[in-house]
Amino acid sequence: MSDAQRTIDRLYAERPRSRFLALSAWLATAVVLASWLGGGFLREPAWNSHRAANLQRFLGEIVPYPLQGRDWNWAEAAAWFGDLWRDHLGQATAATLAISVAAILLAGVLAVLLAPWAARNFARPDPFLPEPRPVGRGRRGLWTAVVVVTRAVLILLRSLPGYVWAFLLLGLFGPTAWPLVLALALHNAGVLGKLTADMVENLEGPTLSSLRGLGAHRTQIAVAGMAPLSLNRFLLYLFCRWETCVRQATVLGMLSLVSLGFWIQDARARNHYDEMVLAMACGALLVVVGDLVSAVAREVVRRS
Amino acid sequence: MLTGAFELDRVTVRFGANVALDEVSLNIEPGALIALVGPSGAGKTTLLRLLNGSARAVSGTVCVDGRDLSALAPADLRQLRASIGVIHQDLRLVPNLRVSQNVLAGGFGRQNMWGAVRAMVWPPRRDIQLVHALLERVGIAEKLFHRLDRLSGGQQQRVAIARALYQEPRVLLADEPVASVDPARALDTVALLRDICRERGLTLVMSLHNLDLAREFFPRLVGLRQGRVVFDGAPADLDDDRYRALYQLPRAEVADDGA
Amino acid sequence: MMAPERSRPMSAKAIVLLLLVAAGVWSAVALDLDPRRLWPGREGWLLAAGFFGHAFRPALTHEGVDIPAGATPLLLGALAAAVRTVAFAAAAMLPSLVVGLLLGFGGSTAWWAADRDRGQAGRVSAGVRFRATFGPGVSTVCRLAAALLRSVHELLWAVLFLAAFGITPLAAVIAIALPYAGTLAKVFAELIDEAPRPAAGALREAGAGPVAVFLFGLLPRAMPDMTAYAIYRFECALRAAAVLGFFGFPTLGYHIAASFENLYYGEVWTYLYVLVALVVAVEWWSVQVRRRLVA
Repeated sequence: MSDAQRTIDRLYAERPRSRFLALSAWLATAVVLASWLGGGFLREPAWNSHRAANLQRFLGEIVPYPLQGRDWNWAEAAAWFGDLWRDHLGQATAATLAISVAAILLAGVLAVLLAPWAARNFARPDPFLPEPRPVGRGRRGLWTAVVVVTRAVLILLRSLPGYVWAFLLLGLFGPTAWPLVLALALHNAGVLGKLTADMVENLEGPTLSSLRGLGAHRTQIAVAGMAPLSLNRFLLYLFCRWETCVRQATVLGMLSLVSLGFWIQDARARNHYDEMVLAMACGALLVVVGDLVSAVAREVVRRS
Repeated sequence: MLTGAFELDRVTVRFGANVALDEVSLNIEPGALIALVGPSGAGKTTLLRLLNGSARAVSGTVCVDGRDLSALAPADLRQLRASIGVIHQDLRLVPNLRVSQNVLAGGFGRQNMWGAVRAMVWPPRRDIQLVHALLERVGIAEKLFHRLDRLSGGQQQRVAIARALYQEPRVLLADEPVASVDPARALDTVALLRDICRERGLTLVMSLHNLDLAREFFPRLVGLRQGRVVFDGAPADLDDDRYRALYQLPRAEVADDGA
Repeated sequence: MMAPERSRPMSAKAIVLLLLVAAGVWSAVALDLDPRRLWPGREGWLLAAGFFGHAFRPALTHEGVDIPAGATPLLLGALAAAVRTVAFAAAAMLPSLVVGLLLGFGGSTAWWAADRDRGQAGRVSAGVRFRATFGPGVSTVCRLAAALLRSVHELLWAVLFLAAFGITPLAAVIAIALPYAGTLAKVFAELIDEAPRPAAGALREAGAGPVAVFLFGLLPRAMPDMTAYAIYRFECALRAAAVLGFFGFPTLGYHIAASFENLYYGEVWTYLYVLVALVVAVEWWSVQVRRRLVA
């Protein structure tokens, strides 16, 4: 082996590498493989004649009821759709949309109220500008506690899925629209709150320090300094999360009366698969429209 | 096999309404060491891009080894570009790959897709030895397996040089390699490039805005101003009048600059 | 004398904000959201107090009175449910990553234009012509497919499979994987298209082939963000897997629902905290990975 090769081998052995990343990669692969091999997903045969028969029957049954077993007729299909829409689907679709809007706006308000207290550059005795006198340990400890508690609350809010929140709140508030709206609002407030807190922590120093230097207190800095700087990104986050809310709002109805999910579950229970698929299609259409609206809105905000 | 002889005949390059090069004629022999000088916006970068086919001439011809660049078949153009090493002003390296991988990427022009994958994932010993030798020549051998973004700006530039050299080019084009570098380092870098090209008989065309460096290291200067060649000759021939024509400084300032 | 200032037309952003507020008002009216209904009444308050009170006293052992001897202790059972939740989520990530990468590459314009040099000399190669003709079409198809997959929530896919041919754990995993593949595809395509391109351009100029340019010039620039998003998707998959428990699968949601219906609120909070711990662990991992990827 030549000298050069020896040098190269030594350099290779000494190369800076992240053991953490390597370990992470191996662990992730191991977990995924173990899940597939040992998780019981492959125990039953994925497909057999029984399931195939079920699927065939199902495909026959998603055809609108008045047309089953006959030739396709657009007029009758349209009439069937119109009846269902007027009866409950239209109202349920509107309700689903309304839940998503109310939830995201509420989430936005909650996030804006909570996030600054989780931002380490805002929630401290001397925001944005060091004070000439040293700050007492008590005050510093108090503010650290504020940050820790707020972050813990945000973590709790966003760790629990909206579905779980809805389930819990329905038990407490009964089957109205509020539990669904609150459930989505709480979960998304956690997500938006964390994103906003991180954004506040990364805000540019100079503008805000100068405001502090003028003697402004936190509320004034927040309104006059932080808000204009972060409004655009906040709106982008808001619309992105709204897209998720639209999807979740459909599903939450499965727990309660109000949205499309209720009718999906109801139709399935009655084995009216045609109505079930139609309700799902309404939900899918709502999602597509919502994504489009959100994309347009985000483009407007980006350009402004 | 490319010899590195270029012939530009009344070449005009236009970007929209903006004329970047205006009826430029230039002959470059193999092994020439040329410094492109002139004020900013004179068209130095465009001229360099013409030489490896990255810019298209609106009129006039660009010939390499006697062949017209615009008539080249795609495969031939690819082969030509693989023989021309370029050191960009912004380096254009991949920050999260290792130095060795960045340099090995210079060999993609000679390899097919599988060769490229092999080079990146599990390079042959011989190739790594070549990379190591190149890094030794530019002075950063011990950084062979470091991540690129852990290196300083000057070290990253050496990596860019090594990548260009790994192509085993016949021509080296350097676009303002020392524009934002401190004077001592600038001297080292220009000297390094000039020496390497002299050793290997490569054609070197380097654009510089520091005229003193150009005069010191290059036997031939080509001065561009507003897309036209206003000077083409040895540094000794660049007297005060021609200097002023190139940079159009008032008389008083030239006197202050001294010799 | 200064001319009087002309009043500016309302900016597009102001319109968006106004529409948001209007939408909020409409939604409150449409749902008949009466703030007074938020006041649960005496019984409701007792229930709420009972439930949220247990937040500080999660159960460490089973709360029921007639637990058979030899039953798994509560904490161990919770841990087992957590492991099964991770298994569902991890299993779903494999197909969603594979399909997401394929659709993401196909849906990105950068993949198809990897060797398109504007204003380059020489004749256009057949490869470039092929990509220019078919690229936009395939790219649109990929993006549409991703959008369609994304438009149905994973629970709705699960309900669909349940109705169509009966639900199995495998079907539940596929139900999660389908919309997640669509989301990954959309985000991957966007990240690839937004990745900085100087390095790819330099490799192209040095004569590299389009696949090499894409894989080693462009993709590495997008890789850190792609990895971070994939880990975020896994975190969402954990939540989805937990919720599947409400449908009868042996994940955390199953136990949450069961304990809640039995009014064992302490146990409910135990399971909730386990779920929170899972999410927090994955978020910590994500921060650590991201820090090391971006040097």
